[in-house]
Amino acid sequence: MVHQALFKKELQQNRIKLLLSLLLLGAGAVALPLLFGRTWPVFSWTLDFSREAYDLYIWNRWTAGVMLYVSLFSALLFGAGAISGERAAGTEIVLLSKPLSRREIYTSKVAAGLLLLLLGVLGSTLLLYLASWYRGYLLDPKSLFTAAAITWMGAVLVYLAVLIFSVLFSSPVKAGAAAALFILALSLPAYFEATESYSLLYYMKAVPYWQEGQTPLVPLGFFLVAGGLLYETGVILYDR
Amino acid sequence: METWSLTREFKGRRLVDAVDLKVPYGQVFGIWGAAGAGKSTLLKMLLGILPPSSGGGLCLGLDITGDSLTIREKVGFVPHPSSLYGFMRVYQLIDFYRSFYRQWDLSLTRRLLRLFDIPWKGKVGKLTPHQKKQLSLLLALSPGPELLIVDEPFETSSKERGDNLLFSAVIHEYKTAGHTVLLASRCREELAALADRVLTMEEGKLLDPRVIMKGNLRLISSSPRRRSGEKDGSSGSI
Repeated sequence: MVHQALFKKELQQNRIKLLLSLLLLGAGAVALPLLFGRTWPVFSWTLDFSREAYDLYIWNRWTAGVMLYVSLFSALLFGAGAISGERAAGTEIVLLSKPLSRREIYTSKVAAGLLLLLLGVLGSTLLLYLASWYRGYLLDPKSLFTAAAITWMGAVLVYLAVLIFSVLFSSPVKAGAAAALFILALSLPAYFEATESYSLLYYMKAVPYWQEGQTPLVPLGFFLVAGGLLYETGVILYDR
Repeated sequence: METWSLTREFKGRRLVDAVDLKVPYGQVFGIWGAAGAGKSTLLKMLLGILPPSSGGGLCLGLDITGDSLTIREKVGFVPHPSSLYGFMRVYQLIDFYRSFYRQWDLSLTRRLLRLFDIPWKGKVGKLTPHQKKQLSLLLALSPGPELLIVDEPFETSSKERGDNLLFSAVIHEYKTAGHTVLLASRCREELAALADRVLTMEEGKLLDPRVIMKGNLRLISSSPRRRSGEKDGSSGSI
């Protein structure tokens, strides 16, 4: 189902985007342990990184902050041009003229996107863990990487949804704009107490798994079902 | 290749309108028409890339709607424009497309690279549009297809018309080996020089083979148009 050469081509084609994602995440992963315990005056404000316990600080600034928003941005970056970019560049017709089914093409792009997002999230979380250890702060690796896995799962669902926009639009700019509005709509309920539990972002912040040590069976089940539905919807639309 | 009432509609407009086509084995068959006539859409339907709105067809005896994957294993297609992955080097691109096929004639690949003077390690993005077209032809011919379909094989600018001869020579050699070629082009003279038979497409319809287009005028010849060495536009066949 995943064509190896097409999968490798996707990774090669997206290497600059992966580098950007890793730079953003890596900068956050290194900076946060360095900033902890300090205050920084910025114009008339003061950025205060000294008030929380370290693990709460990391959850607040990393899991619910940098990693969450950069992984959403990465899902948009990788997904928006995946199909529409090839269509706009004219390379899609060359690919479709070869003995390759549309399902194989789509699945290979999905697999590449999943790996790219995983490299970004896992790689940067590992960097954060090491940077924290270097500064003398020990994080619980189980909570940290469980939360990273949940954020990754959420980013994958967003990526699969963005891929559907990429199928529907012939321009990566239009696909990206429509997908960005969709992500905004997904995010808004998270900022109001009454509606926060209806937002994907709320679950991507991984509160019960980070702070309460729960095993993430429910998010895993939801991810598999929702992910499967989004994937199949994308394949059906692309096949038409 | 054969089609019956093959139609493709999009947003209420018929891009291909009830086309009945018969392309026999071993011929170079041409479809001439202006931009937007429906030629590219027709070619994509014959390959099974675009599903028809109605009608059907056979390509190499295979159903264009049900056996599209098998058709694409046996047919070489050169699209227009020939967009290739610019970030790859030529040898990487060849390896990439080679992975889709069970067989690949590497000696033909090397021969065509030398003939077209395309550098093996060159960046695809740095090739000229005509070199990309030639590379697309190489990618279409190397798997050893039974049928070759080329969309817009000829360059229209006078600067690149010399390159058309080399392209035509390769296609002619392929046909001499007993294969079938289907060409779709806006360039009437070059198409008439290469094709055994040319049909005209206009607004999605294939015109009566007796019709010869001369600018906006339609002239009716006394016999269907076949390549006979006579000049285009004369009374009688081309």
